[in-house]
Amino acid sequence: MPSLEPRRAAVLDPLTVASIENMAVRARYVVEGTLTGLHKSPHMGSSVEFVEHKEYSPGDELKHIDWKVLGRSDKLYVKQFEDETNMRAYILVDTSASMGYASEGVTKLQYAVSAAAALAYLMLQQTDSVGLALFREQARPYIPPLAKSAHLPVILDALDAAKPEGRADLARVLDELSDRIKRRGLVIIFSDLLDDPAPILRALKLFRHRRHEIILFQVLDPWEIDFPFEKTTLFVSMEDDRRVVSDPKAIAKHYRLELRQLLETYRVECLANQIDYLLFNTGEPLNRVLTQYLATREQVTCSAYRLPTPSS
Amino acid sequence: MFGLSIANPLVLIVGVAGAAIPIIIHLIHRHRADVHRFAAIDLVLRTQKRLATRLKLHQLLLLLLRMAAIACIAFGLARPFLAKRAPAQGSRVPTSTVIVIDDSLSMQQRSGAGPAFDRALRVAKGIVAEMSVRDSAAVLTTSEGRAPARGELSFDKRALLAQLSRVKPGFGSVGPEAALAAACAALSESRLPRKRIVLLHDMARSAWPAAGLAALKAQMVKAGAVLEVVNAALDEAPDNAAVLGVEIKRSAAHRRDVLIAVRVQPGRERTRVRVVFGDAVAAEGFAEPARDAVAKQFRVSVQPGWPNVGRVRLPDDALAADNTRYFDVGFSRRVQALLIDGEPATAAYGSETFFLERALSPSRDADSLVQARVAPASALARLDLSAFDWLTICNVGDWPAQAAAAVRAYVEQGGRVFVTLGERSTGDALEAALRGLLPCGLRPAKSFEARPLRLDLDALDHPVAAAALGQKQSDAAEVRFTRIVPSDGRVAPGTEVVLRYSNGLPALLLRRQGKGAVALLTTSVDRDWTNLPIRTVFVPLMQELVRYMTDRSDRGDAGDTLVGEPRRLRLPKRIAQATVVGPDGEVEPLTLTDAAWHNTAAARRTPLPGVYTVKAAAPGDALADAETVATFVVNVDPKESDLARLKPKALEQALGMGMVAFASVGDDGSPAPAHRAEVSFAFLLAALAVLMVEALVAIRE
Repeated sequence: MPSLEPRRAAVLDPLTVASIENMAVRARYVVEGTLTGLHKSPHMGSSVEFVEHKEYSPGDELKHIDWKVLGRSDKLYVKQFEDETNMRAYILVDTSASMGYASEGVTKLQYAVSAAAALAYLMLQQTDSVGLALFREQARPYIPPLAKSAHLPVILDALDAAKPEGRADLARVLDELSDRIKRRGLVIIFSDLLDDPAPILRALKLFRHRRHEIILFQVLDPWEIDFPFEKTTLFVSMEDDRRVVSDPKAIAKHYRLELRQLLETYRVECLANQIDYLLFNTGEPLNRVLTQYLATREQVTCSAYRLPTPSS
Repeated sequence: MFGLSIANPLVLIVGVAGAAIPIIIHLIHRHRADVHRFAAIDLVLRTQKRLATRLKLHQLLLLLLRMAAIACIAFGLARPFLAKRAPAQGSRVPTSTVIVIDDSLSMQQRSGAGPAFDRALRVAKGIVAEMSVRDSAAVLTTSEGRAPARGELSFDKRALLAQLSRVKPGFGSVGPEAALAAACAALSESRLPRKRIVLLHDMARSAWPAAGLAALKAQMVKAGAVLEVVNAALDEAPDNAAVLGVEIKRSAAHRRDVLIAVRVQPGRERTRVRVVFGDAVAAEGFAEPARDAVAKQFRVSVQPGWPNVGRVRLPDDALAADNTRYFDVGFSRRVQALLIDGEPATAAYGSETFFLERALSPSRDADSLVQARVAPASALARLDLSAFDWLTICNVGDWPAQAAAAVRAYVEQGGRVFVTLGERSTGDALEAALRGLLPCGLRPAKSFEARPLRLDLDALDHPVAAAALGQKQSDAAEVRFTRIVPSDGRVAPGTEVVLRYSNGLPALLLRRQGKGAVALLTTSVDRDWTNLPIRTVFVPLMQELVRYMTDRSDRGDAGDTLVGEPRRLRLPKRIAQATVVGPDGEVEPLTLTDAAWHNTAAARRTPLPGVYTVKAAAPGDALADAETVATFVVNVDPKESDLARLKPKALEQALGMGMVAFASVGDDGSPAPAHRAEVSFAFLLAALAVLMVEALVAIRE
């Protein structure tokens, strides 16, 4: 993944980004900051998808002749592609109470929101369809994907209004969305994924089975990762009334082990299911988010054929 | 059997309470935990749950280790000790007990609530009070131990308690071995199955001679007794300053100036030393703290009106009785001596009296008893001889009638005359002049140039000879006589032969003549006929002769008289009856023994330190107006000032384990736990080990 020069990284520092109150400006700021560094054009080719064969008739492009079929049947057939002018992208952002955690700097939600806004801006610039779902136990609000530029403010307003509250249930949300999202597309999920991974992974596999591309961004705070606590601490849940007094020094090693196991679970399962999984530290620059998106997007546009979907 | 006891229980209580500190800190710490809203609480809960048991055990272990460390430190600081307990006093086995109470001076040391002696007495009374009807007991003091066994075992508690009430602390220095021997002897007679000696002592090291312990062990085995030693004083010796000795030297320049050399055992702080005569402080100084005794010297000008007896004083401390030491500056009247030089010479050393004069006043620093004046023979008729205590007539040849009469009268009036011979005074003229006065008749002078005579050193029985030559026999053996005037064998009745020549003839003779006395040396007193004047024995010989002949009874016994020791006295012949008055006012009539030149007596009652006065009085006479014949001082034995404790182990090793048990005394008189081995260090070491383990466990969390 191309790295940004230090100056660009400073520009895309989450705190700096979060300080931009106007979401549209913020989104554009992130996108252009990222793309300028990568020397990429914001306009990318559209993607096409093979639909069916038809018999060759003069005038059809020779490059679309399916030579394999000729080899099998001694007949000339050409591939017919669905000409899509944009990709459908669904951005899901976890707005449960745990996303409101911030040790220093920005909350996880602020980080996710900034990244989601930037992605939405970029994708709409590329004439892709973008939809948004803010979820806790349900996907509310759900904004269906559209490719119009006028759709961006709708998305940005929804992101701006996001508040961290309640509990998250990503598995249930994915199940709910699987009925709504008929056509295959790109699902980008922002969550801290601190719940039981099993149902989430099961739901993600199901989504993947329906040939959706999935990028899973796990957003964590540096303190959640490093667990730097020294003194005896009363840890209080952000989503319910659970609390526990603990000697952090006594459990730090084992906490990090638990976290590593959780992250490893996601990484391994996502890898096995061809789900792009990235761990984000809210202290890191936002360009990584966009860079990863762009890498995935590039994969999709360059290949006409899709890999067979993994069996569930 | 051994038991763990605590020397400082209060420290232990506070320390053990301090062991609760880790719990309190833990609770406060817990209560003051930082509150933190944390999103990944599921992870924390999962981790906590997984480690719950292990964490709890770990924390509990740390808590226990910290409490244990504090408890060990508390125990260590509380000075625990393993005590070997003395057998219970209230044993049901019929027991014969001899209670030996140390009443030496050191038992007056104040430690804790009061004198060690008082505590010992309380213990003794407790032992008697706890006796059953089948138990018997006796009470002895260490000072009584010298007497034949008085400790007859008695079943009468009341009588024993009454006896105890009469026991008083003493000022003497007596070890316990005699009393313990008497106790063993008493217990040998007992038929009761259990026998014990309870020694109430202060464990002063100086009281236990190593040599006596072997004999004690044998006696105890024979009696079938065990020894219980109860330490009535504190385990640690208190700070004790003491006056150990006083020496008096007379100044050569001024007769009334004396040099007082004091030996002081200093205390742990600077000690003030005072020389006191009556109520007057004659001199003062300070002794700095030191491990060993220090010497202080004071130059004092004894003022007219001051008593002869003074004292050296230190401030009172734990043992006050050894802070005062008495001394006698010895301002007895000097002997006024007239030396008649029968052969004066222009060169001083050529005079007949040269060596004699120096023998009577040996050196400038000597405490000379004699003030001598030299005069020619003609002075015999001129001078008032009664002004002199002692007259020496050296080699006088001419005897005018007046001179002879003067000498005769002098002797009759009580004068002392010492006659020496020489070329001029050979015999006939002298005998004629002093007819009847000389102790023996004389023959013509005889020469022994070829084979000089020596002194007969086998015949030194006379007190003068014994005192003068007894320690100097090697020098006396070198005395030679080349010429003598031998005795003709006609020895007057009552004559004492002080010295003999090696041929058996008398060399120095003495005789009382009425009130006076005459001594005769049958050779010269210069170097003409003998080397005696240049031998070292000459000085003490002349000094002792003067003392003996002039009745200086206050010099009857050299050296310090210690409490409990008798004092030998020489009293003038004229004193027919005498009484000693002690510092406590008690009187002791003296039994006078008639000796040739003096009356001798022994003052046996010296129970207290202080000044004892000899009065010329019969028992029952009023003493206030009686003549004071002499005084002498009695002091405590400086050995008692050494309060360093004997370690119980040393006694155990000497007597054997099982033969002796130890206990100490609380302030209430109850015997406290025994001979003990302090185990503080073990506890402190344990605390260190626990802290190291705690550190390891804390790191390994």
